[in-house]
Amino acid sequence: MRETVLEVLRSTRAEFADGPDLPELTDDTVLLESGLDSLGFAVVVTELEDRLGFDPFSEADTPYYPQTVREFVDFYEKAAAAR
Amino acid sequence: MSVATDSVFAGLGQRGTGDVLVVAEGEPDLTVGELLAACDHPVLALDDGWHGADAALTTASTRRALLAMAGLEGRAGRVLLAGASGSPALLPGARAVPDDAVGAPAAAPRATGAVRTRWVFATSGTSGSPKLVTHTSASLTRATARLPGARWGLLYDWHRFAGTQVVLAAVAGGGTVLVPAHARLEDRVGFLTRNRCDHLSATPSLWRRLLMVPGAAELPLRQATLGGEIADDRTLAAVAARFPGARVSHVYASTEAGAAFAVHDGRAGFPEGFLTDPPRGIALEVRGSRLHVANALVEPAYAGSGVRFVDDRGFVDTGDDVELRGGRFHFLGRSSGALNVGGTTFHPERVEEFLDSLPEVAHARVRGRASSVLGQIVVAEVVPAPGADRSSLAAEVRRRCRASLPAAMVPGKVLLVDELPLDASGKVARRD
Repeated sequence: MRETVLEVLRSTRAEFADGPDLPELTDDTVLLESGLDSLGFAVVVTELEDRLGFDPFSEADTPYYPQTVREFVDFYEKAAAAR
Repeated sequence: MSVATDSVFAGLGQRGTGDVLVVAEGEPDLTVGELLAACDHPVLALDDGWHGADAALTTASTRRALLAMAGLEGRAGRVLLAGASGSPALLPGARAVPDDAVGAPAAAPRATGAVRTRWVFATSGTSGSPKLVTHTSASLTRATARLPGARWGLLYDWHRFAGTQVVLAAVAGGGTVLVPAHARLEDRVGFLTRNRCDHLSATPSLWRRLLMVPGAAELPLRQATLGGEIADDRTLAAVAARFPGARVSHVYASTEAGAAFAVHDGRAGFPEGFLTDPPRGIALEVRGSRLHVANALVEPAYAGSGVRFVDDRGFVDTGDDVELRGGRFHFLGRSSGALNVGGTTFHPERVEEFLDSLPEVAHARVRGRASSVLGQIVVAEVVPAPGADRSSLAAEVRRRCRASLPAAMVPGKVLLVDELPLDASGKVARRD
């Protein structure tokens, strides 16, 4: 799970991020500072839905917005465990 | 109140002249006194040839725009609110107000015989050339509540209908508008927090992004407003949870229908009772599944073309489909098949046209896909041209779209297909 999420974050960022100087993606990277714009982030969530079969952002009772890469990965892992 | 309702700046005189109206990064504050002076003796270095003439405002500055509006109201006939990216030529015969005319010493007192100035917006986003919608001062301020001391954050351009609503809510409603200049949302939020922004209006997509900004919860919000896209229960709940001190509202507005109504109960859609007991000044009807709005304060025809967009009973077809569930109307989306990505509305054909123009693409179909982040994203199905390199095509198509199309229209997903299904009439089928 963790590897899939990170892989999609990296590949989408490579294509959608602005500017050549992207910070390295670590657990503590703030998502909004990762170089992904709104569309890039939407693409990440869509791509993960296609690969994993679920979108934790659209599931009931979980209005939650992660701020760092670690929180983002945890959110997917928890959603997967709850399924 | 004894003030006339057909002036944008009516009611200003009740405030202290030292009250600050606009706090914009990189510009001096704008006070009530300065704006009142602009109303009485236009601080526009303009001759009386402006009396009754049409004007266009092309400034990027909210401060300059307000000073110019104050100087032009009662003098100019129609004023096109074009913004820095807009063209004065959209309104034939309109003279652009030079940036350096604003704030220059007063030319002459207002000529006698005040003109009833009207305000013209260029609708954007959908396909084709922009259409011009004419509002009276009363229609611009109809939905403005008196909220003395409110500090509004401006996250839209001043000349977009949603942005003008925010600016006038601050100016005509007794508050202050805070105008961030930074491009990055994190920096804008920082500016708004430092300036104690307590009223904020944004699209649901922008709110979802704002909820991801570290420190956004420090905004001391009393009012959080969502508009421009369908506000769903989840986003409304998330905003309410992050800003427990705020009333969370969503508004229904369009350039043609004006600011129609606001819903304050924190739930998606609007009560069925709005049809029989509508918000003041408007009427609502649902015909079939289509929402219609009557707002007599908006002129019923486009400026320039003269094409009427209301029926003989004064109703605008909003193009939005609604469905009645449990005593409440819920928004379903655009009946025309137009897409709405993060608040930008456009027809899929506009993206298809661009894709079809690429040498690597034989044919393309574009559809929307529901997105929990942006409401919808664009999905493009592409038939490669003979000889095109299939391995790099998807990335190449997206790169070209990013270079040439507005961000909202860039396909989030590009699927390579061998052919596109046709409908009975031989056109590319819109739905499977």
